[in-house]
Amino acid sequence: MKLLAIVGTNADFSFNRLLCQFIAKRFGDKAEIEVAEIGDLPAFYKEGQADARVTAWREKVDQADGLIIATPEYDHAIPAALKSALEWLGSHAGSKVMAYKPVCVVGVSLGGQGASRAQEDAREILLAPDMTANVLPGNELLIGRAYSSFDKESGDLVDEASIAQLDKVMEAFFAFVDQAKK
Amino acid sequence: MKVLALNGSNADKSYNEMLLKFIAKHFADKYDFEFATVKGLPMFKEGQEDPADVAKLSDQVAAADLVLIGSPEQQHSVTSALKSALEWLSTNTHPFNGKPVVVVSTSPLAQGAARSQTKLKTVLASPGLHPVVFNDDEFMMGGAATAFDENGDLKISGTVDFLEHFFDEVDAWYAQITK
Repeated sequence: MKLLAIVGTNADFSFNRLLCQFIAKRFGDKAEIEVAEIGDLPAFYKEGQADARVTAWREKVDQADGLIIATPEYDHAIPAALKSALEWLGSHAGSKVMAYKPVCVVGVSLGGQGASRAQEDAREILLAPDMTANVLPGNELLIGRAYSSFDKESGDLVDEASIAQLDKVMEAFFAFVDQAKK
Repeated sequence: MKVLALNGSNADKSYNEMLLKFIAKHFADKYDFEFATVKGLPMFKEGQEDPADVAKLSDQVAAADLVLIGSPEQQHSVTSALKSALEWLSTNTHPFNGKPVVVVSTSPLAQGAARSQTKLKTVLASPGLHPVVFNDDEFMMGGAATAFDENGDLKISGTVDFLEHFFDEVDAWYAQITK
């Protein structure tokens, strides 16, 4: 099983990046998990031609059996950089790589919310006809208080309740992807 | 009243731009319009100074009495181009703080980008932006592809009537919040 763990921000430092790296490390024996970045993609432009970066991004998503999207929250929603990366995968750009693609949405925030509203935003966007993704229902991973939930030295997730929830969510997602592949 | 008409699309062909232009023409006696667009602005990135184009937009928003946003819908939400502009304007500067904002939209299908408006209002309600948003009647015009004639005017008189009613409500609301 090939999965992409997508860092949903173009920020230089991101706890959501640390979460993606932790997921790749912890579940490396269960699936082939590649951490994917969106920071180098150009801004979506409806009439624009896909350049090499966009083509590579689409291919990477197309070839994955499932996506894990880790999103921070900017102004009650997902970051524009993530929205733009998703727009490049939509039908406006002539690409249908997202149709029925299994997707798991997770998120980390500095405060207590765990990017709850951004995750809701991401789920709505993924269900729009332009995306038609197969979004894993329920199974929320809302990691708050990032500065204490992650270890300063290793960058690993260390909050025990969050790790237990992550294990549960990932187990459900592996089964969900298996089901979709049948 | 100085109205900044901000188009939330970076597309070459934008029905929301046509709508804003029609509004500016139709209400030219009533408001003093200035146009702005999110087209060409760089993608927001944390930890960076405002690029010159963003600083200019921030100044335009700050100088306006009211900001009129034309908000197209992409994937049931606002465009990344508009969202990025709002992220810039909620980080280094906060020109929307207390600013009267009115949202309008149009789309080719019947919904008229209604979901984009709802999402935009959720984004505008965040503490980093904090405008005063007009929430009375809603102007969300479907059928955009056939709504305008060759002069860019709206063809259906009922739509124009409703638009006039809509801006009468905006005027009453504006008078109340600026008392």
